[in-house]
Amino acid sequence: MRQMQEPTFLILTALAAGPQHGYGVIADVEEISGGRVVLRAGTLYAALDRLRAEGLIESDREEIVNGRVRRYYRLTGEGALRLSAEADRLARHATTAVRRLRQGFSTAWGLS
Amino acid sequence: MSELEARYRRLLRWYPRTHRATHEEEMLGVLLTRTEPGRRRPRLADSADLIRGAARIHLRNAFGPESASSWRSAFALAGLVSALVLACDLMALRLIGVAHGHRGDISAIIPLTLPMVIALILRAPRWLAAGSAWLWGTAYIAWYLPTQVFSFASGTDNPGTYMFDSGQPLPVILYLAPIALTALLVTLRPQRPTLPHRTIIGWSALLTVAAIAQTLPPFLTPFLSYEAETAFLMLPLTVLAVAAGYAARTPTGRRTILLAAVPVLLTVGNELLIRLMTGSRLFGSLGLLIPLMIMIWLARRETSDPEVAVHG
Repeated sequence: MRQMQEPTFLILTALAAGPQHGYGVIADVEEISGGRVVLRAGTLYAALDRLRAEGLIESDREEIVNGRVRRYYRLTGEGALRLSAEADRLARHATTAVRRLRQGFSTAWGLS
Repeated sequence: MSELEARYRRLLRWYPRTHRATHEEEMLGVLLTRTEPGRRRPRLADSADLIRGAARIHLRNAFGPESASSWRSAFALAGLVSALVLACDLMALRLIGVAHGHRGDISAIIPLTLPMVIALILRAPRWLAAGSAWLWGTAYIAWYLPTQVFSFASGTDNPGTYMFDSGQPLPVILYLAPIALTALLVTLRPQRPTLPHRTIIGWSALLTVAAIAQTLPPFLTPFLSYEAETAFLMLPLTVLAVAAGYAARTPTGRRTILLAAVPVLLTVGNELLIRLMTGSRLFGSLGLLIPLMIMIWLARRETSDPEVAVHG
């Protein structure tokens, strides 16, 4: 399976807890990444278009706000599986990195 | 509508029509929500991001996994269209020859056997269709180049015509390439082409008439102006531009145009290309540009049929 790009991972994560509209996804991604990743509309909708084509997300519902359509997106079952697999992979890498850093610290200070 | 909204809408025109129909208002809502009050122009970064996003969607529509079936149909149709255009052009030349009493020898029958190859392209398996296309192409080139193209170099048969010899690449490109490319497209086709018979017959008849009309000026009057002569030379290409304009409204049609463009242009636009390359740049380019503009204008005309306006 191809490795997921960070914006894709963050968009899927933003949709993991429940359906969100475009602006909600942008705000959530900014919050999840601690302000490091700020999606713009062009990037977001190109990603949403691709994720929809890959069957990872789908349209949930629409509402009209200030005379404009606001569309909500949600994860599909396939999207949840892909996100879960990617989260496991990243978690394994992070756990290994932390464990090895601790080993290195212990060795340097003669604690092991 | 505010000035900022109008500018965002202009930027959103870069997106495919179907994407705009679904997401334009939604994207506009996001863009305007993220903009601070009082701003009249989009930020440069937002503008660049919108154009980049539009390019990504266009590229994915054109070459992504969803486009595979459309490309298969287009490859099949491109071989058929190239062969049909070649057949109409040759049929027109033969009819003109007969009208002038040039019955020709047995080898002159070769061009008229192309419809049989087209029947195989439509009905037979790929190996048979491709084999017949290459066989026909080889036989045609073996007869045509020595007798019809390089013989002009002597200047005896057709005084005043372009003087080619076998050392020049131009006649080889102009006369060999459409035949080789047509055979190649038929060889690469992943499936049989599907096109209604009435469409094939109707457009072929129209193209043959236009190809005959293209050669009329010298017989009408010896004093025809260069502009009028160019207008006659444009006729077959204009007929094809109209057909392509309608075809371009579907993704498969656009891909077929892209694949068949070179062999078709070399077949029916070769007189104009020769003008362009031999000094008459204005009339040569106008003769090629006007049909292109007609095609684009027809392709971009709004249609009430939602099935026609699909992305790609």
